[in-house]
Amino acid sequence: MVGTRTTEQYLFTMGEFDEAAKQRSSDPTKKTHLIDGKRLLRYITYIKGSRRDDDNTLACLSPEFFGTRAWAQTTGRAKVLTVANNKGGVAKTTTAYYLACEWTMRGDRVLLLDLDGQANLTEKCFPESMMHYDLDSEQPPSIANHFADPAKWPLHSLVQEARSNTNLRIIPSDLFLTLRDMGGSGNPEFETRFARDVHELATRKFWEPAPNSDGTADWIIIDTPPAMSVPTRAGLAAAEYVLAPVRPRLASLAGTRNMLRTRRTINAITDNSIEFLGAVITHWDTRKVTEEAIARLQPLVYKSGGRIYDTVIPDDNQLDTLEPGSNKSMVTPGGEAYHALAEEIWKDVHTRHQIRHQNQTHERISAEGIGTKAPYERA
Amino acid sequence: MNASQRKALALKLLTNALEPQPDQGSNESALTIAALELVSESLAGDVVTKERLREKYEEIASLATKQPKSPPKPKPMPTLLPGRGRGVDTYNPYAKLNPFELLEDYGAHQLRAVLERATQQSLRDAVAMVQKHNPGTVPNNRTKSADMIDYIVLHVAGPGY
Repeated sequence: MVGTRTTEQYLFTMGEFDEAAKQRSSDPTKKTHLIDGKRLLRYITYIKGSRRDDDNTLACLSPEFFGTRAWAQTTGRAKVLTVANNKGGVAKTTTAYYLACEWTMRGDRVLLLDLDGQANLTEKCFPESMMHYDLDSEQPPSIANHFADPAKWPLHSLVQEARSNTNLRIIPSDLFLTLRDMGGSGNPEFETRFARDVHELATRKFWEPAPNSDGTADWIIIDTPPAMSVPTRAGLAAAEYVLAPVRPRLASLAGTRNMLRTRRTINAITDNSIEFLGAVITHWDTRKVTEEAIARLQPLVYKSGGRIYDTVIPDDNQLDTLEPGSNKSMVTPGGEAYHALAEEIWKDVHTRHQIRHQNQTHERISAEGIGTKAPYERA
Repeated sequence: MNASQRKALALKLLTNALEPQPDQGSNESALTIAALELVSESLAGDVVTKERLREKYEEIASLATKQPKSPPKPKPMPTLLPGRGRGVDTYNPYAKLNPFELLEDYGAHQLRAVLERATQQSLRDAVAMVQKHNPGTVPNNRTKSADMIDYIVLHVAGPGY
């Protein structure tokens, strides 16, 4: 089947499937992978949501790409939150940075992962930018290195301390990342490998163990670029939870829908392990057009399993210059709102995480031990 | 950090200092009293610590007097009826406001509240849609939101809403 490019050709009856299975069993040299109906649907979902101008897209017939759900382990690791929206200018980076700083002030340890080639999150974490804007000059190692050669540049080797905040670490980005972008091309091998690498990162110790912490991060927050790009798809594949900052304007609502389409595509290879937390309204004001946009957004968010958070982030041009998490940031409406939002999301994720843990424990008991290992460890 | 965040952090550090941790977990109240007594004892004759205490007191007292602005509060959003919503394949944010869909999503009892969030242009679009289903009817005034909402609610949800 590998090499055939039209989705329709994969639609066959169970009788044909059985026949093909018999043929395969009689000829062990055949390299064709057979998949059951459920996996076939997942495959079709994946193919439909991806550009198919790359042979890698079709390589996902291999059963390992349809492995069991990621994040089988719920304890002793970081929770992974991806901040995403296909529309630009909705405050993805600002939200990721404020949440990280607010949570570090609570004593949590946060690892940021900047997947945006604009590298604004990286700039926020380093007062004097470490980046060189001349692409001819040598760049310090960044996530772009990992995307180019994951074996040579494993994610953990790129982790750096951020600013003077000892509870904050970052894997920086740089401008080279945009040069590597292949748009919405499906590359299941890369996406699943990236998810596996972030999974490994979530269990790795980056801090000295303390009485209340084993040294792993409490959170990994992934900032993604606008548009359905390779880093966005990778960021979603690695996500356990997804948060969409939304500016209450129609284009931003469309961007949210498009991101959720991408999430559905990526969920096809992660067995629906990516949970949509919901939307946080940014650039909020009291105009009617804003109120209507929120009302228009709600049916989409609700149907996708999320919620619109009670806390809204008002238009506040001081947000870029404040120091998140400090008392100075609390003096503007935007800073105060992010403080409240961080609290709201923190509680929400912990509640969801606890439910997920209980469900998975139950599943494991039912399956008599199956699934006790992380999915990528089984291979 | 504001005063309450600093308090939480200080308590956390104190708790960590109780190594090994008590079996029943730490009692914050008892821990605070113990720390206060310890500091009081060590203050006797220690000029440096006294000075440090005064500095910290003035710093934290100044934080406590600052009243942060309350975050803005949007109007509470009506909640969708169970099982309702729009999937990514059918969702179109650019579509004209459809009061019949709103009725399905939010129910008759909330239709008015949802329409009150709409712009005048969207209400006009919705009125045009209702008129197609109810030829010959018109709102009292097409330039007043309240009149348009009354008209839509009457013909979509029925009288009494």
